[in-house]
Amino acid sequence: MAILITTECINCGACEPECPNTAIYEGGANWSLAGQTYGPTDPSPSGAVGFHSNDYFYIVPDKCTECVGFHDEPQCAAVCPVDCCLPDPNWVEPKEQLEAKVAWLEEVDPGRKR
Amino acid sequence: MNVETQSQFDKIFWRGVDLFNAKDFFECHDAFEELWQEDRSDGRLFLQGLIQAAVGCHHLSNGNTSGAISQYMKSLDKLKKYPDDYLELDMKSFRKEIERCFDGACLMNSKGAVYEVDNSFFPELQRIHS
Repeated sequence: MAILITTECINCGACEPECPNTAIYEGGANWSLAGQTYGPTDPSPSGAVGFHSNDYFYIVPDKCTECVGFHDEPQCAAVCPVDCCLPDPNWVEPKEQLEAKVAWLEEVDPGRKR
Repeated sequence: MNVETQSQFDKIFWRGVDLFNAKDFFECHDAFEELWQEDRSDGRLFLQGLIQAAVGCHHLSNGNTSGAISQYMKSLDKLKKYPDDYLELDMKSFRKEIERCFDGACLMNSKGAVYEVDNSFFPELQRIHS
């Protein structure tokens, strides 16, 4: 499942540079994927809505692979001092699905990586 | 900053304590986070407990009662694992005070209203002088 940043977020920004997929954005910022920029009300390619936040850092579900393909555990959660990066119960994805997402991201947006 | 020596640790740690007591909870969390990011000792969870206490107070002072409640719970869960006297701080009193803050946040949250919380509501970290 994708990782969700809860409203406990203190906006310290520790998570954002750790994401290998650049799936984390500062509150209020537009996000991008495969050369396309998305605003706060734009649905993602998968149709996901409601993940954008104006107040806290947020994670784009279409870009989050829970660090599958890069690390043993989600790095945002590992560096978060307040434990507010949690599995999103509304976006459950088994490992195979996450691995497929990695492959898809490599195909559509290979330049996204840090 | 790489925290390589005890004196560097102490300098940042006591700055964090001073910031907490000055009710500058965001800057406080920043100071403790600087230590927490590099700490791999048994004290790592203690530092995180302090961070979460500070963040809980920060959220409560901004009217985010649900965020405060969650942070206070996480803080207490970690701090209770440490002795009452730890790193020269009176943690028994502090935990009690955070419990009081937690109860207050729960009450505010249950009312569903936005409260302006005065700084006097928040606790201080007391140093134990031997």
